Amino acid sequence: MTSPRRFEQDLPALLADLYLAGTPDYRDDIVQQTARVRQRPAWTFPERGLPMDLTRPSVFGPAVPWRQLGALALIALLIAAALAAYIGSSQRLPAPFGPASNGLVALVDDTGAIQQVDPVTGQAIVIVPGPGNSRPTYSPNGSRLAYLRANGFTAFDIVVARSDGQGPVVITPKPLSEVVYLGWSPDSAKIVISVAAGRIDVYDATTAGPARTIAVDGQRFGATGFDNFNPSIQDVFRPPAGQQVVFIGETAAGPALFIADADGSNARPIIDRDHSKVAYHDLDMPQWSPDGSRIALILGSPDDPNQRRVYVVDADGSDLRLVSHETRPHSDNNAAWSPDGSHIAFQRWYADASGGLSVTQPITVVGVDDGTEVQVGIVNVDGYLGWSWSPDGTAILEVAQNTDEKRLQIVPIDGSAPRFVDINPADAPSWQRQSD
Amino acid sequence: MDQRGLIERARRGEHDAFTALVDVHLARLDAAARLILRDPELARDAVQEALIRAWRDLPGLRDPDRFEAWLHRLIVNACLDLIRHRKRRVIEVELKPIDSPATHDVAGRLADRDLLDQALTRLEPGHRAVVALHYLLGMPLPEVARAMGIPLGTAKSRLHYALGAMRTTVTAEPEPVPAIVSGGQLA
Repeated sequence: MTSPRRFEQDLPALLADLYLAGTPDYRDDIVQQTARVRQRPAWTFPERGLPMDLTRPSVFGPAVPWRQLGALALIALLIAAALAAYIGSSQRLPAPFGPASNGLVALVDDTGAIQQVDPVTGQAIVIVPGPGNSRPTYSPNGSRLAYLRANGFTAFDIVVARSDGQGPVVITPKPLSEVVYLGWSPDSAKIVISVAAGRIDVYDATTAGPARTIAVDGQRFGATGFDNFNPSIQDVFRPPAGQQVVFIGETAAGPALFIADADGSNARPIIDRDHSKVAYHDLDMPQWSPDGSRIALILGSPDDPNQRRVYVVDADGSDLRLVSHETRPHSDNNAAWSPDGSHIAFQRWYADASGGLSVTQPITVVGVDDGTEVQVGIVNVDGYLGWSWSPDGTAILEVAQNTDEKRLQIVPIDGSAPRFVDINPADAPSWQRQSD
Repeated sequence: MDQRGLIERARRGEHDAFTALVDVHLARLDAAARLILRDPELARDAVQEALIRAWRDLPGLRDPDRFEAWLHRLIVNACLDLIRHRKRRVIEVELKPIDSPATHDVAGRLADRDLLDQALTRLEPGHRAVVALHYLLGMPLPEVARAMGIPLGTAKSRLHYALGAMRTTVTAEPEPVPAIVSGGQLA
């Protein structure tokens, strides 16, 4: 047995023993694949500057009256903005939380275009042409749509448009290299993202401008646990007013559930290993209940962190309790509150013959107060690319991970027959909330 | 030809030079991906994604001396992207038999390997990525932080946490193994 003192010294050799296994057998495939890919010309990289032929003044054609054209364009824009504001003010918007009427579904198709689908008729139209779009996410009031647009090969812009895709505005002043979570503030006025460095950044959703970073110390508070699996779930700011944020951080004893004021100040653990009545290995994916009184989260077992359970805790950290009473070895993930806060849906895997937790189950819905549990819908063998509740709380919208099963699945939770829309989403869909 | 020469030629679009670079780095990229992802098929996907990006974007690499660090950054990002895309699906690693020659300490090394594998399974992917870059690919911690886009302090704390968790598992007292009696029953 390796002694503690020698462990660090031995680690490189042990890892090499464990993982370095010579040239992989797919070497030739990769060489052939790269040979089929065209290299990106050097001049397209921003730091290399523009080629001279793009910077030379044109010597052909009459002079264009740019100033007059610009003035006309500005007037047209102002008229359009005024019209949009008038039309917008005449529509009634749903409250940002609680049950709402079902609107349209936005999704990215396999060409990178954003399509808007009527979940009743199945009719779909492209509202943002591809390629390069991802993560369409409706605002809580349903009036706007945020999405990521590729900027070059490795970066993204955040774009906000009206719910029909019109009037897109890039709100990020410079491209982002990574976006872990993309969501909205409860008032639909801000875009919230988390990035790899463990920061939470907040952008104005209407104009380009710098982000306000919620000051969570990267070392002490990892600010992790955000997940973009349920894009319609508002899982950072506390409803209904957004006065607090919840995130996973670290105390001296290990990972903990933290609450902070909306500006990142006054961060404090509400569940930590030293004080929790439930022992845990790690915590993950906290989600506010629609009324902001409770938080659902996942705890990994201290005996086997792959076994994960859904818990609910009051917003002050009291009354941490298990919601599902399943006793077989299992892993529950991606908990999402129903719009009325009475149920939580999650996905579950059971152990297979070898003990690995890989037997996919249909979405499980559990009553928060009585623990009654039902499985809804169909089994998607590889799990889900994404799923969320319908705004009215009567159905689960699912997209399977497996390519052969990919289509929009609308699964009523009352056990009635699911409906399918034969469209091939490349990302998790978002279901628009509408007023009654 | 040295690596710098190969990189220069590959940047000019010579695919043979890029193939030679692949041959130099592929095994280590594959190893790092398997360590982070715990799944050989996913690791293959990540390596493929990283190398396609490397070939495609190579003309934009200004400093050939940064090629290796850049490649490591691509593989880590490809792995973490895959994990995010897979959305918490439980994945397990496939252990391959040891190719190294037998020594007097084979049993001990086998035990260490198994324990180390258990310990790595329990770490978060972000922690495994720090371990892979630092201990498997030999990158200094500031380089690791830069490659992963995280503050140096975060890289240090992740490594500290990961080492502590691995050390605890690897140096723990072994649980008593039940003896097998005749008929295959456990005693």
